[in-house]
Amino acid sequence: MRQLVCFALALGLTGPALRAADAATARARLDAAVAVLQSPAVGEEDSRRIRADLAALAAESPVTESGIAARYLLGRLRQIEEGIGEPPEFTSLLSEHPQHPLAQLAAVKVILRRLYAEGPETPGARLQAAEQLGRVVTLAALRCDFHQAMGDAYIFHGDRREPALRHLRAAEALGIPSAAARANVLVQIGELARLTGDGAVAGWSYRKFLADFPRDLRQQIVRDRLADSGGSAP
Amino acid sequence: MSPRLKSTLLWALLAVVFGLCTWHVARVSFRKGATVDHRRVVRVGHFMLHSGIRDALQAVIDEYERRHPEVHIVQVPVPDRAYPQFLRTQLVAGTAPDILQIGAHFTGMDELRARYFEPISAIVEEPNPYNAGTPLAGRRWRDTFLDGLENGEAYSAALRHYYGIPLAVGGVRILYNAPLLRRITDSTALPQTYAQLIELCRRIESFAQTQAQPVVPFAGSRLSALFLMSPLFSIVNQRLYYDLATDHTLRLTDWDYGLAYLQGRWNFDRPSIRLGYALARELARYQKPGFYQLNTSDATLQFLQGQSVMLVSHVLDVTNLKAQTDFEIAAAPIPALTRDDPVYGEGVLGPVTEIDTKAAANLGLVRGAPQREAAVDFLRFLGSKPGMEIFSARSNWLPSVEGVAVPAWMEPLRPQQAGYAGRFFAEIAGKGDARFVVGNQYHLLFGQGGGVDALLGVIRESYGPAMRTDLMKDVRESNHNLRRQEPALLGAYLATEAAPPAAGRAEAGGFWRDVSSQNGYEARMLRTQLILSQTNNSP
Repeated sequence: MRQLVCFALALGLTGPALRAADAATARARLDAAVAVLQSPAVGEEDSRRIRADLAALAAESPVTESGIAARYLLGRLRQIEEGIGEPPEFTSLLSEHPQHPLAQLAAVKVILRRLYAEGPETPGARLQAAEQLGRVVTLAALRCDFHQAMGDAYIFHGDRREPALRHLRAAEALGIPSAAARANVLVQIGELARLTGDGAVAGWSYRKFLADFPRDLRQQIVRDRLADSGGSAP
Repeated sequence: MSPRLKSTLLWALLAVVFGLCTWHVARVSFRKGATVDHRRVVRVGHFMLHSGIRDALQAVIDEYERRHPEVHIVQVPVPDRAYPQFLRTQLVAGTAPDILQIGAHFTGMDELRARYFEPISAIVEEPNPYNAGTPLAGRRWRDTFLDGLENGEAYSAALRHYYGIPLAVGGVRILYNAPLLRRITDSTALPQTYAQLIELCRRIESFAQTQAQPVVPFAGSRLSALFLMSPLFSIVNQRLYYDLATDHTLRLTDWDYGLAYLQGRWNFDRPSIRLGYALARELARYQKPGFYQLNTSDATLQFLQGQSVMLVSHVLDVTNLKAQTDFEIAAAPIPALTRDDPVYGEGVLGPVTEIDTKAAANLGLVRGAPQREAAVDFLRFLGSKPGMEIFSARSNWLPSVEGVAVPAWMEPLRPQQAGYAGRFFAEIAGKGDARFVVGNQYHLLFGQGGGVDALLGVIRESYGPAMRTDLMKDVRESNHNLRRQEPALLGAYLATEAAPPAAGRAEAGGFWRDVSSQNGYEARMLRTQLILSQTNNSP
């Protein structure tokens, strides 16, 4: 009994230290993989080795930060290099850690691929599937990207103005970080609102664009559109 | 002679030479009681060798040195052809001047900027103290420039930093021989509308015939012809331009023309496209035959020798031209087409806006500059209202800073603010090889016996396949860029433990901004890929 107590005590003391050492090693392996992949001279052999190392890391410690990051990176490489829209690494990340930032980012990447995938799926089905998947995206930064992507996709797939306007307004409300993207979204909101008969929203968006982007090439055409919808420029 | 004696003599010789050198340096330094120059020396390397520009910069330097006697600014002018090599070798060797002109078009400029230039983002976010007492006082320095420093030399989109302070604003204008115009028309003013411009060209032709003088309306070269034709072709197609922006952004990117073409949303038989080319052919009539094979210096020579009334030119060349001639050169915007033009008016909305005209001739701060503080201070003075007033008045370059007065003759050079899109002609063939497929056929439009049908007969067949090839290449390159970005983005995430702030997107850091940019970039690439696949059987 005394021996058992001593063993448990020793395990209790060394366990966290061992786990910390494991985490540090895993992080070092991940950092090394990321560094090698960033190198412009990385060859196919290196790439294969790194991917194997990432897979091993993901298998050994799938729930640690390093393991999750390794799974995300593997999934992205599969998307980009092999053209797989929803790689298995992303499916498992989304089901196991839906709140993790990298899982949410993975969801946005899957949505983008689904929206513009080649294949027999109808535009309506793609948009519906993307809406469904988008429910897991809750981080404000990514939610904004999701709304922009959906707004553009509703326009691309048959100019569906009302849902497009709804998404783009949601993106604008969340705060679009890129000035160029925000300028586009403000014009899109103005145009879509004008075309769907919402003069108040159109006027608001056009005026905001004119005030915030005084050197944009679209100043005159937006002034014209604002006048057409009964408003006056700021 | 013994080796020992030989060695002693050599050492003695060395000592004598050393002594002579020391005496010479001391004599020069302390001659007649003068002391060495203790001023801090700031060197400025640039390739602005145009007539009058070095003098203009020197005038600013003189005023700065009067205000700061402890600083001495030295220009290091380098011919533009040698400048890229000068830049790289001086920077790599660590012997570069404190301030260097940036050329965004130089190969590897972003890499050079990243390694050897100091970002001035924090500096341009603050007010410029030299603007104190002017209407620009208290304003963020960046906002006092006409283009907000949003030009490719001042700002690196890849590095997300500001690096340069611009000295001038660019643009294109018709320059004309005012005395010759007066002889022909009894007026020194250029027409306001396109129809009047064509009427003027006819009068010039008639004058040349009746007076037996070898004068043509326009000095012709490939570039000056395109400068003239591009905005007018684009004006004829303004309604089409906005119709093609089906994403409701009211703008087209370089690739959107090709994608819209493959989707069948426009073709070369659209009336406004045909009219645009007809207009270009009409303008070609008023230049010397074979102009499309001539270069800019040929056109300049024609103009300076009085063989043409007008020259379409970049406004930064005005100073150079004025210095080379004794006749009065005046400037005017390219006359605009109007909606009521009986031939071309149907697709017209109005003049072309130049609201986003970019500033040029940017000077940057070299990383680790020996006189960094003085160099920053000099850049502040140069980029202030008082500094730019001196520079602009001497250089005849349009000032890059707001509120700087210019002489009356320069007023027409200022960018036109109101107006509509005007890059259709320049952007129609995208950014890849299709530009050459289209551009190399213009002889069919301009040549004798040629015309719109002759040109369209060829490019109708070649444009679609060329654009498809370019777009496929763009998709491949975009995918490659994504592959390169991905580990870098994850590296940034790991480095910053980029937990998004609970307060929302406004507080999100650089990582999430980069992610957002990548998402937009990726969506565009995927859309292009899908359109290419959906339009596989289109022309």
